[in-house]
Amino acid sequence: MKTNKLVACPECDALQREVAVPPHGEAACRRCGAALFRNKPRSLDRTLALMIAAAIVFVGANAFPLMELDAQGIRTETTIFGTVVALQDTGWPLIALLVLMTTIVVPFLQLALSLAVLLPLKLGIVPRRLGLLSRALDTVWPWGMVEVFLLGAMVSMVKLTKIATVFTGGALYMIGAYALLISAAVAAFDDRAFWERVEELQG
Amino acid sequence: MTATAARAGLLLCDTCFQVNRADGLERPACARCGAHLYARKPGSLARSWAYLLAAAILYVPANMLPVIESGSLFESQTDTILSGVVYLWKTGSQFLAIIVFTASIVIPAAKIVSLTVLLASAQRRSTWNPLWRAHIYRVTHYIGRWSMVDIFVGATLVALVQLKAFASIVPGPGAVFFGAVVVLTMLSTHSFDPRLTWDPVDERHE
Repeated sequence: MKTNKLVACPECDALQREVAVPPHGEAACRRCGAALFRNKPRSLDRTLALMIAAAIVFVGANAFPLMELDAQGIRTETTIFGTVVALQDTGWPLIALLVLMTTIVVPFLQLALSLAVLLPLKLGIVPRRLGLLSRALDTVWPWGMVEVFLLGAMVSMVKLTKIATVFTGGALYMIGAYALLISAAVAAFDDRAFWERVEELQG
Repeated sequence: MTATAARAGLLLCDTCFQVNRADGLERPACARCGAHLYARKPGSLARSWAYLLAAAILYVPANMLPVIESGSLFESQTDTILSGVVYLWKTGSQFLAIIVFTASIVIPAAKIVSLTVLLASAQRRSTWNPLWRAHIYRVTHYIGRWSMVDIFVGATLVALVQLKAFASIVPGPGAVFFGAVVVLTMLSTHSFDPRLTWDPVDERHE
């Protein structure tokens, strides 16, 4: 491990020497306490595996119904995309667009861009336009809100149980699994190892 | 005195965290990933203020106007965010009422207040308690997205309760303003460069 490289804190700009970090450890800025870097063993493989699993679960989360409602014999059900359509149909295209972006488009981009970067790297290839892909990933990442959607769906379920019979659909569990897998992937990712691997491959 | 990248003539890449030499180029780019480099986010305070001001203005209609309008054969009812929380509380879901109240009312208001503190103190080049302000920034940054929960509650309700003439739920105008507040406070947070909190501290020691 290189030890006399300089690192700058992204939150307070303090310069410090890179230190050796034990496996699963994390280095924090000595001035402001911001996370500087960490040492995650087998980070790239684990992140890739978790991202692939998340991608599979994401398909299910969109294919199955979220929940089903039975109000005195009248049954309705919806999927994630169904909520977008309902918002559009009731005359609220802006909210429909917001839900579409935060729960379907951005999560899809998160998965697609992550895999577009991690898969080639695993095969020993530096993807073309890696910088652009990484910046796109950084830009879209905060706008994916699947786990917030899950909380929202659960709150509305509790509200609905007061007026009708509600059945949970498969998508609810899939969304839960997706949220867990994505946060595990983020936790497993070590950006220093990632860029060191890129430098290694570039020679 | 703390050595900083800016004072050492170094530029940190915010994509790959490579430390680059500034080299006095007009448009410096990261040697490793090609990202455009800058010492501080360009126009950080102006952009951050603009989003924050817009969010603070829209916060009023977001809370005053109904976010949900429900109707059945016999009655119709409109709910603001607050009356939705009260309904949850009264019908025995105190725990969820607290979650929605925190996510939809407390967090957006707290974000507007803390961003104002961060921006005003950076603007005035204050050296007051930077460590505490760094914590405020981090919390604001991580917690913002959870305010969107009420939009998703509404979205699922609207999709499921379309029982023709029997009962239906549609969004109210407050929902658009509320969504805008969450998006704008997130944009404001992302535009703010937390290093601006520390720059006056470093200059005072010079």
